[in-house]
Order: sequence, then C-alpha cells, then structure tokens
Amino acid sequence: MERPIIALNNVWVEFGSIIVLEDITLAVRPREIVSIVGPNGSGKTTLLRTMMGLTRPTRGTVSILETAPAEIMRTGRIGYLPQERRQDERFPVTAYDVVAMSRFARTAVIERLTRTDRQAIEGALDTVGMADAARAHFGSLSGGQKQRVLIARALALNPEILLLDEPSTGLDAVAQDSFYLLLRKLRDERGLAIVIVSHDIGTVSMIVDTVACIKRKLHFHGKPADCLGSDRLAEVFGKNVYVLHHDKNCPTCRDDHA
Amino acid sequence: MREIISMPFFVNAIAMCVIMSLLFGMLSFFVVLRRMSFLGAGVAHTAFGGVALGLFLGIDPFFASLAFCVLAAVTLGRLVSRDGLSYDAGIGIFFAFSMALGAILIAVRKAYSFDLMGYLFGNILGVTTFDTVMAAIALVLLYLFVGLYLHRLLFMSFDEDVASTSGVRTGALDTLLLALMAAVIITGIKVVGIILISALVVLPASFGLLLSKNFRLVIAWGILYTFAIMTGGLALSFVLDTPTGATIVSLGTALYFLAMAFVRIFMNK
Repeated sequence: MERPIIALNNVWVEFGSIIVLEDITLAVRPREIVSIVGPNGSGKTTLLRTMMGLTRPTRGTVSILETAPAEIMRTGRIGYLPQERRQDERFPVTAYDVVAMSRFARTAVIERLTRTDRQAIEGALDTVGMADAARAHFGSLSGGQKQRVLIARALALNPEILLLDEPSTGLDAVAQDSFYLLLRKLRDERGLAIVIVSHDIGTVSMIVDTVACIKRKLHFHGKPADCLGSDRLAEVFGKNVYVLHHDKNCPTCRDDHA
Repeated sequence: MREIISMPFFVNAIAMCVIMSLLFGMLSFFVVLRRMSFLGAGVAHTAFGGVALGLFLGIDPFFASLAFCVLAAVTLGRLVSRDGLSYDAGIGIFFAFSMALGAILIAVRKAYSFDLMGYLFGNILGVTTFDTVMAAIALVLLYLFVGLYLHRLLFMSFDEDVASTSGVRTGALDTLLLALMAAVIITGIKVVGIILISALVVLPASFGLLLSKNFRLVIAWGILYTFAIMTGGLALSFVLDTPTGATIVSLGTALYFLAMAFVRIFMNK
C-alpha cells in the first residue's frame, strides 16, 4: 500500500475547555478522494484547517506530503477552497484575474506574469471548462461557474492535493453533479488527492473512494457502501437520516453503472 | 482673479488637490474592497488625540498625530487579526478614547488658541508648502507599495485565508496598508478635516465601482472623481463663500448619487 500523503496521528484539538476533535487518526493516500462527513458542528472544518496548519492540534501529530502543515502551505503544493466565500459581487475582477491571483502569490518581488504563469492560468481555466469565460466579470458568473474558477485558481499552482470545504454549498443539483464529475476528472487526469468536507453524504459518497464520518471522534473511515449500510451513520447523524441512493439515471453515477 | 491664482496659498491648494486625488483615489480602492471604511473614519478621529498629545508635549501636531494614528491603526489591526476583536468594537473604543484624551489634554494644557475648527473641518487655503511636501512623500510611499504588491493586495482583499495559504504574507501586508492608510489620512485632514475625511476614504472607490468592473478603471475613475470634486469644491466654495472642506464633501456626495441615478437609468443596472 502506498504511503499516506496526509497523516493525522492521535490528533486532539481543544478550544479552551471544549474538545473539538478527539484522538483522530486518519490517512489519505495518493490519488484518493476522501469525503469528511458529519453534522454541523462536528469538527469537519477544524479537521481540514488542522491538516493545513491553520489550526494547531493540542495533542498528536499532522504530516502533509511528509512535511509539517505550516511549512507546506507556502509551497503551493496544496490547493484550498474555504467554506466561507463572502466575496463582494461588485469586486472588480475577471475570472482570469482570480486565477492569476495564485500565480502572483508566488512572486518574489516584482509582480509580473511569465509565459509559464500564463500557460498555467490558461491551462487551469481550460481544465475546469471556463476558458471561454476568462474575461467575464467574476461577480456576474453563476454559483457553479464561480466554484470552477476558484478550483482553477487552486489548480494554477499545480498542487498535489486539493482541500475543499463544503464545495457544493449554493449549487443546484445539476451544478453539483457537474462539479463532482470535474473532481473525479481531476483525480483521473492530474493524479490529485482530494479531501472534501461535506454534510451531503448522499451525492458525495458516489464519487469518493472513502468516507470519514466524524462527530468529534472518527466514527468510521472506509468505503462509502460500508458506511451507508452501517449503524455508524446513525451514531454520527442521528436516527432520522435517509440516504438517497444514486443509480444509473444520475449523471454522477452513470460511469459506474455503465 | 489672476492675482489670486498666482498667490502661494492658491498654488499650494491646487498642488494639494492633485496629490489628494492620487492618494485617496488609490487608498479608497483598498479600503472599500477590504471593508475597512469605518476604520478610516476611526483613524481620522484618533488624530484628534494625537494632535492634542503633540500640543501637550510640545511636539509638532502633524508628527504627533502621524505617530499616534499609525500606532493606533497597526495596534487595532493586530487586535482584530490575533485576538479576535471585531473592527466595529475596536474602532468604537479607540475613537472615543482618543477624542476623550484630546479633550482632556487641551483642557489641561489650556491650549485655547488651538485651531479646533481647522482640524475638525479642514482649510485647504491654509495648506502650507510643508503640508504639500508631506503629502507628496505619502504619495511616493503609497504608490511604491501598491506598485510592488497590487495583485497580492487584491488577492488578500478578495480571499484573505486562501491568499495566506497560497504564500501571500497577509499579516505584514495588512500592517503596511494600515500604516499607510493612517499616514494618508493625516495628510488629508488639513484639507477637509477630521469629521469629513471619511468621505474621501469611501466615495472615490464607491464611485469607481458604479462605473466599471475592471479594477484598474475603478482606481482611475476614483482618482478622476476626487480631482473633480476637490477642484470643483474649491471653485464653488470661492464663488458661494462657503467652507471649502464641507463644499468638497457635499459636491462629492451629490456627484456620487447623480452617477448612481445615471447608471440605473441609462446602463440598466
């Protein structure tokens, strides 16, 4: 088995007297799509922020690409899409400007895009299917298109891992399906490992390799089918949870049923 | 009229109009996009405490208020980013404290000759060569800063967390931006005063955002707008015999709402 590219060992996170994460041990392997699911307030976002070094564990160790999280984030090897995206609709930038931001972030002193930078930006926009909208005002794009541009911004750094916090928030069902298909394409074509934080256990489970159910503790980590059919789901979400199983009529699942 | 135009105070006033347009057209863009408009007003009011402290200690009020405001802005930024204090609460505390400190120090020093109205409402015709030179230095520093960091400032304003995780040193940039904002505001106080300076911090970018979705054009519109209201306000105050700072701000507000109406009616927004 390949060595994990993200490894959390007995990680605890406490905010004062409140225990947010308790003794979490979790490994993510190369080219794996993992979904971290759990109800609101279960510690999903804290777990993601701990992987990136934005939140420090009170106990335990975290390693990402065999490096300490605080050091790896400045190298551009991780692409991150946070949960809170409160950009002003009037913010005067195009889709291209937004993607270019991540390349400018790597500038040493003088901000100037090289040919390599421009190729990375155009390639990232092309990968997410937004090349034609490169000059469009970001604020006037639909929710799904904005998500694609923000993913392109992360991809422009040629990362090895994508960390996505509730990426389907605000997207309609069609845009969600299309977005999840894009993630699978990124894993297949670019060899990315992807960690998705989500409270949507139904749709996400159809595209991921493994599901990690957390509610302060890690209750389950394994194949989605094993999680959906077990009592672990009730442990995490409570008893009144109904999971919608996708079939061959669902665009996201179609490839699996073909 | 020709005599007035050739007088040093008028030359200084026009030079100040040009410099202020370039300063506030640019500064306003980042202040508005980073949602720091209220901070601009807070820093300006903090200047009152700095001026009084200067009078009390026998230091030039300009340098005293400059040091006081830069320190206050940077401290406030740190309290917000590190200790989770909200900008609203922090500004409220600093704002009231420095006004109170100013009132106490002026009373203790018995500095009754202090030109309170000049500081509160500004006097562009009282601008000296020293004021113009200080504003020009602030201009060079601001444009050097923006020239080096424009896109990283844009990234930080758009999405601070991701900018930070992508390699932008957001903490250092934020501190520099706050210090420069305080310095620019101090140079502008002589022109429109402590009470009215917040209009120059907010209006130029707000006007630019009405007319364009391109960040370079928003900045350019902001500069043009500030120049128009400063020179127009100066001329209007001369004709109407009204206070210059108040006339500039009133003209700016009227022009902003006219532009808003124009955009709604003719550009179908």
